[in-house]
Amino acid sequence: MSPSEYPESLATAEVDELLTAYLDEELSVEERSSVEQRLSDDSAFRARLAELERAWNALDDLPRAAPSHSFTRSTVELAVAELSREIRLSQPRWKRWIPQMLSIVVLPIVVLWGAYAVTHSMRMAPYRQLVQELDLIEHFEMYEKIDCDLEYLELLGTQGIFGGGNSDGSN
Amino acid sequence: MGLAVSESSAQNVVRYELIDPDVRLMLQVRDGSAAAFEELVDKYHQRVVQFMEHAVNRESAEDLAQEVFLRVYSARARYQPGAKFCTWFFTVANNVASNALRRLGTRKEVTMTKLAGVSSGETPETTAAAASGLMPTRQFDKKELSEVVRTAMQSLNERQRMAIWLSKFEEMSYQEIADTMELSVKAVKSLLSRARATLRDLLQPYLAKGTMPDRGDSQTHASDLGGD
Repeated sequence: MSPSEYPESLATAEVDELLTAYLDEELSVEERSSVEQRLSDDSAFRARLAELERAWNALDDLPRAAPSHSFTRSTVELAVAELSREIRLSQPRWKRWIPQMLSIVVLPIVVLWGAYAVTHSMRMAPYRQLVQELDLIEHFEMYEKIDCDLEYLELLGTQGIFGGGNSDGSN
Repeated sequence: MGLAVSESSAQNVVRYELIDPDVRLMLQVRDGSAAAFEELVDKYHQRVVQFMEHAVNRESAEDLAQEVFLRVYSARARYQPGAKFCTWFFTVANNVASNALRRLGTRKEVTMTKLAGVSSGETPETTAAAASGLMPTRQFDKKELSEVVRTAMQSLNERQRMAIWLSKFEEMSYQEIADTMELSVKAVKSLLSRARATLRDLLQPYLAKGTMPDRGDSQTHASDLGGD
């Protein structure tokens, strides 16, 4: 029976609403018995109900996707990432800034100090030998006046005669 | 007044906690149980992926389903059982689906010409033969029926599809669908009735005769496709 064959009064939204609610068991007891009474008396009404029900049952044939096997695992991983983000955001703002602030303040200091150390070391390189031989330079005039065998003086030096343990003149 | 509301809310919590095991799981998630969350994902993922497949589209279904679970997880601290868990869960899913549809900006206009040509393995020649009336009817198999039903479902508008899905596959009452979709019960009743009538109009030719219609029949029914 095509829709055009239904009586005018039947092909209405109200009838479909009534029959749909009947199928969905959403009618009151009185409404339900009224529908059932009409179903027993009215073949067109009965046919309409059967068609609605058949179309409804056909939905069981809907193709339905199967989610991927990794769905649960990847979803839980996303939730864990969300939890980490929540924990980070729950810290006071100033605490979240500590690593950034440290990197902003400390890093330039370290870089500047390193640059200074390298420059200073390079600048002082020519004077390093002078500093090492300062003792000799200070007593140079005295050493000049001594007419002595150098090897003998070194020997005396190793024996601690000059107050040190070696002969390099650093003491 | 405020006290009465708070007492009623507390009674709801106890009531739903007692009758709905998923509410109990969600309360465990609220208290920090990762295992309970995993159990909920395991229990609902297939249902929500399939809901998204039909409410939005197949390609985005898994991503949207994950978005639903993440929203549920993010909202765990505020969770108060005021309904069955699946009602609350599908309210979230419905919002995610609606947002996705807005983003996609599509309301699929499915023509009955497409509906007539959905059968797999149908070559242009057979389609042409059917259209010309040389092959007016033929038996169609379960796979074809499945595609016809899917296309009919796609021809419904967004709200009709969601209401149909919740009623048919989640077995929700009108009240639960109304809560999920944030509509009145009366609106749900009307929505479902129109959706069912549209499905009946689209599927009746196939179901009554068990045959694929010729092009003429299809175009007759194209005019029956109603909006919401």
